[in-house]
Amino acid sequence: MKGKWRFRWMNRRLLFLLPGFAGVMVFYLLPFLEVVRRSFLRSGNRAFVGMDNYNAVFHNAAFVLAVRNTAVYMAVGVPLLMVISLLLAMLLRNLTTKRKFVSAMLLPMAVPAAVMVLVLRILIDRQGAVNGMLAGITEHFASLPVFEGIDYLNSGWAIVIVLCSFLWKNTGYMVILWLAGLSALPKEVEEAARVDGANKWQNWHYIIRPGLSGTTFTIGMLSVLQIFKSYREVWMVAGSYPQENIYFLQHLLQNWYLKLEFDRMAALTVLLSLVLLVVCLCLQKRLEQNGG
Amino acid sequence: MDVAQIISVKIKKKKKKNSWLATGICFLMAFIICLPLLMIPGGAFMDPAEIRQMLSPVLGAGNGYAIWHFIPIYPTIEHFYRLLIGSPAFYKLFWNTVGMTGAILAGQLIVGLPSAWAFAAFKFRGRDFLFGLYVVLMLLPFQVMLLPQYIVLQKLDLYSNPAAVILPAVFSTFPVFIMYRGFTQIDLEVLEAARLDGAGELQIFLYVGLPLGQMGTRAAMVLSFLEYWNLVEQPMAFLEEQKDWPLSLYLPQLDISQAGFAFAVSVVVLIPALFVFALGQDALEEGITYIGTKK
Amino acid sequence: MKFRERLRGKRENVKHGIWRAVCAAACAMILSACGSKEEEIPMGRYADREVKMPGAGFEYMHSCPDGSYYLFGNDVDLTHVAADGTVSSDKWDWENNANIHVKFSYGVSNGGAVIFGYTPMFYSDEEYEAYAAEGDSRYLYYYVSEEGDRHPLELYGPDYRKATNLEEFAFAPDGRVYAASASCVYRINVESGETESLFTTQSQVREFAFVGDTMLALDKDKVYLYDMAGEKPLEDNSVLNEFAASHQSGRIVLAVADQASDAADNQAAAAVDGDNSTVLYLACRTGLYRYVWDGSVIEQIADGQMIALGDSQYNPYALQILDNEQFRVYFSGNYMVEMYYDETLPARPSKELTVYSLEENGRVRYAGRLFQKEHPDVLVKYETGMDGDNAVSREDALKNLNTRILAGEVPDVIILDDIDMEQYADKGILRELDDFLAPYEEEGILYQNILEGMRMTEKNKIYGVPMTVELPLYLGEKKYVNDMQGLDGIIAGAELAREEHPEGPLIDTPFQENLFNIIIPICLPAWSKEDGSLDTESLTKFYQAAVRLWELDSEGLSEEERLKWQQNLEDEGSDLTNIMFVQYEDYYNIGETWIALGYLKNAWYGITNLHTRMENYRDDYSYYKELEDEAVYGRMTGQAGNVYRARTITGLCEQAPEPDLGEEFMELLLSDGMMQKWWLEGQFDGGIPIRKESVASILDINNHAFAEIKGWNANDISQMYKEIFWPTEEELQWLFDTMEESNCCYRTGTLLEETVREVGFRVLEGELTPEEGAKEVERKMAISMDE
Repeated sequence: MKGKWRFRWMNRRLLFLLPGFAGVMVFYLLPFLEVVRRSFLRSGNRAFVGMDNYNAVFHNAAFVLAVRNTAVYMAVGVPLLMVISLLLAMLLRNLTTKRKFVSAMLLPMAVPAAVMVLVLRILIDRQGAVNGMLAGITEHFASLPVFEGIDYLNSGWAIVIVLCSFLWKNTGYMVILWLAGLSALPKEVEEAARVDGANKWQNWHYIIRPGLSGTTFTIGMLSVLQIFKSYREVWMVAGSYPQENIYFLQHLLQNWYLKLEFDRMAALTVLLSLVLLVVCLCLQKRLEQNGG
Repeated sequence: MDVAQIISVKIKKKKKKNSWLATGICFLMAFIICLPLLMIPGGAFMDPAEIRQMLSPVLGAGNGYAIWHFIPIYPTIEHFYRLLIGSPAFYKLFWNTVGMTGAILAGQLIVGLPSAWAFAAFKFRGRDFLFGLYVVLMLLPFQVMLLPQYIVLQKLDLYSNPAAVILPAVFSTFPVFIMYRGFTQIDLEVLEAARLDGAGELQIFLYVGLPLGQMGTRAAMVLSFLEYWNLVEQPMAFLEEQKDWPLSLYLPQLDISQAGFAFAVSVVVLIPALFVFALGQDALEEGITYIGTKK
Repeated sequence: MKFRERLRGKRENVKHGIWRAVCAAACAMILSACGSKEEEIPMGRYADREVKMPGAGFEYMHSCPDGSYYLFGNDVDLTHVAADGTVSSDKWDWENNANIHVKFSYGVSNGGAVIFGYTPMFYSDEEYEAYAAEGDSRYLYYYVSEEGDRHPLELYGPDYRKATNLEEFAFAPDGRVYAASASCVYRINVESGETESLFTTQSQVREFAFVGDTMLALDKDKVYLYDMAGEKPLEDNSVLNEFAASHQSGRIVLAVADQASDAADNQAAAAVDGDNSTVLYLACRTGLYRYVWDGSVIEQIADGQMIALGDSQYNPYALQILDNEQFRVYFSGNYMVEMYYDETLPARPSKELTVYSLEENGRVRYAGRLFQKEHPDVLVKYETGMDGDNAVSREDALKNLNTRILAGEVPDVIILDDIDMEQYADKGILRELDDFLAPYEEEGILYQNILEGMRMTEKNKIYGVPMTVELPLYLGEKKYVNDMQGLDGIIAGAELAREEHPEGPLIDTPFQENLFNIIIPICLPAWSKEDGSLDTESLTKFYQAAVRLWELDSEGLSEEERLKWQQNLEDEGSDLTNIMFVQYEDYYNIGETWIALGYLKNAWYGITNLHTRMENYRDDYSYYKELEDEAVYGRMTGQAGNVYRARTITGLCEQAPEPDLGEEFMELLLSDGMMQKWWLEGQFDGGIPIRKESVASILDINNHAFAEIKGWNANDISQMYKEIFWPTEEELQWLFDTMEESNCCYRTGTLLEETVREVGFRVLEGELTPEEGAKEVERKMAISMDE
C-alpha cells in the first residue's frame, strides 16, 4: 500500500511538466526536428545532400552581411534596452504611481504593427515630420547650413531608426520584467543596509545587483527574442531588400522562403539554434555559479 | 530581527512619499514614449482631406515637409461610423480576437504555470538542457517554424481551425520562461520545510509557489496579452477563412490615404488593451492572493 | 541522508517520466496520423441545371406556391411562367401612361398584382422642380391590382417621408403589402396609400418570408420577426440571427415550405419533423440550408461549392421550392438554375482540381465554374492568395503558397500573374509545357511567337501560357506621335506637344506610378544581360527618360493642380484602371492628354475605338475618329523589342495530384469557346486572346449586334449612347500583324521591377541621379543574387 502511494507521489511531480512538455513536443520540438531533417535534404526533390546546405549557407555573401548586421543590432540594441529599462525600473520601483507609468510605456506594444509603421513613415520619411522639425530649427539659426532633409531609411541612419523604434517599442516591456525581478528582492535587507549607512551605490552593488542576476538572464534572452520579433515592422517599413545595414538574418530567411529555398533556411536555423543553445547553457552555468 | 522589522516599517512609512525627481524623469520618459502615439486619437477624428493635405509631401506630391495636427481642424466621426456601423464584420473579428486571446492566456496559465514550477522547484537530470531547449524553441523565428508547424497542424486536422492558432500559443515556451523566473525567486528551503510538514506537491505549488512567484506570472500574462492581441503571422498562415480571423488582420495594407481609418481601428484596439492593463492586473493579483490565503 | 536518496529516486523517476512523455506524445502523433484513412464516399447530392430565361432584362422574380413564377424588370413586361413552362406576359404600355423613366423596386403577388417604385420622366423644369422639392432622387410608386386596375400610389403616413425610397416589397398571405426602406419596415394600404411604419432595422431588408402569422424580414445580418396578427415585433430567433450574421457575403434568400403540400408530397420528411412543423429553406453562397421552424439547428443540405450558389459572380435573389425536393434559384444577372437531388452522384466528388491564383481572376473563376458543370465528379477549388482589403500582403500570400508547396500540397493549376515564374520553374514546381503545347504548335492554333516569348532562357522550356496579351500602343495627333520609336521618340513627341500646349497634363500620369506603369513594360526585358546580370547602362537611360517625361508632364501643372487631380481620381475610385464612362465634373481629364500611351486591353470595342479601353487614356468620346486623318496610332516601343504584356499566365504543377484534370482545364482555357465567352460576357477586361481564330471572330462585325455603347453621364444619371466605329479591314490587319510580331514578354511580379519602381520614385523626386539610381538597383539586386 505504501509503496504504491510512493510511486504515485513520485510521479506527481512529473505531472507538472508533462502536459506542457507534451504540447511543446508536438507543436515545437517535432517541427524543429523536421527542420533539422530538412536541413540535410534538397528543397525540391528532397534528396539527401549531406552538408551541402550548410556549405551553401557559409559560402553565401548575403549570409555574411546578414550575420554582421544582426550582430551589430543585437550588440547595441540588447544592452541599451536592458540598461535604459533597468534605470527606469529602479526609478519606478518606489513610486506608488508606477503602474500608470508602466501602462503608458507599454502602449507602443499594444498598437497594431500596421499603424506603428504608418506613424513611423509619417515621422521619418525624407519629407516627414522629423525632418520638418529639423528644418524648422535650422531655419532659425542663419549660421547653420541649409537643411536638405535626411532620407533615413536609405542611408546609414537606417540602423539608428531601427534601433530607436526597437527601444521605443520595447522599453515598457522590459521595465515590467525588471520590476517583477526587483519586487522579489527582500526589502528588509536593503532597508537594514540603509540604516547601517550604506549609500545608494553600495546598496546597488552589494544587494540589488547580485539579486538580479537571474532576471538579467531572462531579460537578456527576451531582448534577443524581441529583436527577432521586430522583423515584421522593419520589413513593412523598408521592404524585403532594405538599405544594406538593416538587412538582417530575418530578411535572408524570409527571402529564402519566398524563393522556396527551405533547405538553406533549415540549415541556417539549425546553426542559429546551436549558437543560441550554447550561449543559453553557458549563461545558465555562470548564473548557477554566481548563485551558488 | 524584530528591530529590523520595526525599522523597516518606519522607513516604509517615510518612503510613502514619491520622489519628485523620479516621478519627473519617469513622466518625461513615458511622455516621450507616448508622444508619437498621440497622433492616433487626433488622426482617428480627422477628415481624409485634412490628412492628405498634411501628409502630401510624404505621399510623393509636393515639396516641403509633412506636418501633423494633434487636434483635427475639421473633426469628423466618419471613420468610426464606417468602422462601428458600416462594417458588421468588425464585431465578429473583434470578438474573435477577444476569444482567441482569452483562450490563449487561460491555456498558458493552466499549462505554463506547472511547467515553470517543475523547472524551478525540482532538480532533475537534464533539466538545464531541457530548459535551454525551451529557450531556444522560444527564440526560433516563426518563419522557420511555419512550414513544420503547418505540417503538424494538417496531420492533427487542425488547419484553418481557431485551435491552429490557440494550441501552439498555449504550449509556447515563452510564458514558461517568464513564470520560471518568478518561481526561482522563492527560497527552496521554504519548499523543503513545507514538504517536511507533509504538504503535498500540489498544495505546495498552489499555496506556496503561486503566491510567492506571482510577479512572474503577472508579467507573463501582461506580455502574452500584448503579443497575442496583435498577433498577425500565425492567423494569417493557419486560418484560411476570414470569419475566423482576429482583428489584427482586418487593417488594410499600409496606405497613408487610409490613415484616418487605420487610426480609428487602432483606437478601438487600444481601448480594451488599456482596460486589461488597468483591471486585468489587479484581478490576477487578487486571484493569486486568494489562492494563497486559502491555506 | 534519507532525503538525498529520495531526491535521487525522484530524479530517476523524472527522467523516466520524460521518456514516457516523449513516447506518449509520439504515439499520439502516430495515432492521429493514422486516423485519417480512406473511407467510402456515400452517394447522392444536389446538382443543378441552368434554366433558360424567357427573355433578357429581368431583375426580379416572385415565386408562387403552385410552382409558377413571375419575372419583372425595368425595361420588360411582367412575365408569368407557369409550372409547366408556359410563358405569358402582360403587355402594358406603362412607360407612356405613367411617365415611368426607370423602375427600381418591384413586388408581385401570387395572383399577379404588382407594385413598383420608379423615377419619373420630366418634360419641363417645373415638373422636375416640383418633384425634386421633396427629394431629388426619390421614387414614385405605382400599383396594379390582380384585376388589372392600375393607379399611381401616393404614399403617406405619420412616419413616412417622401424622400424615403422603398427598395423591397412583399405581398403577405393575408393580402396586405409590406415594404422596406433602408432602415424601416412598413405596411402599405395599396388602395389608399396609407403607410404605417412597423419597426426599424439596422440596414436595408432584402428578403421577406411569411410563416403563418409571423413575418420574417432579413437585413444584412439579422432576421426580424413580426407578428402580423398581433401587430407587434416578436422576440428574435437566435438560430436564424446567428445564421444571418455568419453568412454576410452575398444575399440570403428564404422560402417557406407550404405545410399541407409538403406533408402530402413528402411523407417521410413530414414524419421526421412532426406533423405541423413548417420548414424553412435558406439559400446563400455557402449552400442550401433547411431549418425546421423554431428548431435549434440549421442543417446544410447542399454545399454551395458544388452548385451554382457558390458562384460569387452571381447573387441569389429568390428561392422557390418545387415538388420532389427540388429548388429553383433566381440570381442577379438574370440567371436561374434548378437544383435537384441526384442519387447517381457521389456525395462528395471523388476528385479535386485545385486552381490557385495570387489575386482574384474573373476569367479563371468563370472557367472553373464551367469546368465544374462539365465534370460533376470533380470538385473545382479555385483559391486566391489575397482577397479584399486586409493585412495579407503579396509576400504573405506567397509565403502561404510556398508553405503548402513545401508541405507537398501542390495545386494542379497555378495562375502565374504577379508570381515570379522563373523561380518556381527553377525549383521544379512547374511542369514543362512543350509537350502539352506541341499539338497546338503543329496546327498553328496559338500565336507561336508569343509562346516563344515565354521560353525561359536557361532551360529553354515553356512553363506558362498567357491566355491573353496586351499590346503597348500610342495614339495621338500625327504631328506629335508619327512613327514614334523608342523612349527618345516618346520624349521628342512629348517635347513637341509641350511646346504647343504649355498648360495642363501631357501624358495622363497623375501619379508617378502611372508613368512607370507605362514605360516599365516596354523597357524591362532589356535590362537583363544574357548572363542574367543587370545592364546598368540601359537602366540609367531609362531613368533619364523617366525623369525627362515627368518633368515635361509637370511643367504644365502646379503642385496644387496635380494634388487636386490626384484627389479627383481617388474620389472616383482608387483603381485608376477601372474608370470608364464617367465624366468628370471638374478638372483635368480625358481628352486633355496630347499623347496617349497605354496598353490595348480589349479588342471587343473595335480597335478604332481602342482608346476607350486603353489603360492610360480614358476618353469616352471618339476622339480619334473626330480627328480623322490627324490621328495615328501604332505600337509603342521602348528599350526592348516588340513587347507584349502577358495576362492570365497559366502553368501546371510538376507534382500535381490530378495532372490529367489540370491539362483538361488548361485545354478548356485555351479553347475557342472559352476565349470568345470571356469577351462576349464583356466583363473580363484584359487583352487579346492568344488563340488566332478567337481574335478574328471577336473582331468580326457579323458576330455582334451592337451599334452603340451605352454609358452613364455622371452629372445627371441620364443614359447616353455613342456610336461604334467598327475597324476597317486595314485596321484589323494591322492588329493581326502586330500580334504576329510580338515576341518579347513582359511579366509582372519580378523583383527587378519592384526594385526599379521603388528606387525610381526617389529618382523622380530628385534624391538620386539616374546613374545613382541604377547603381542602387544594382546593389539591391546583388544581395538577392547572393542569397
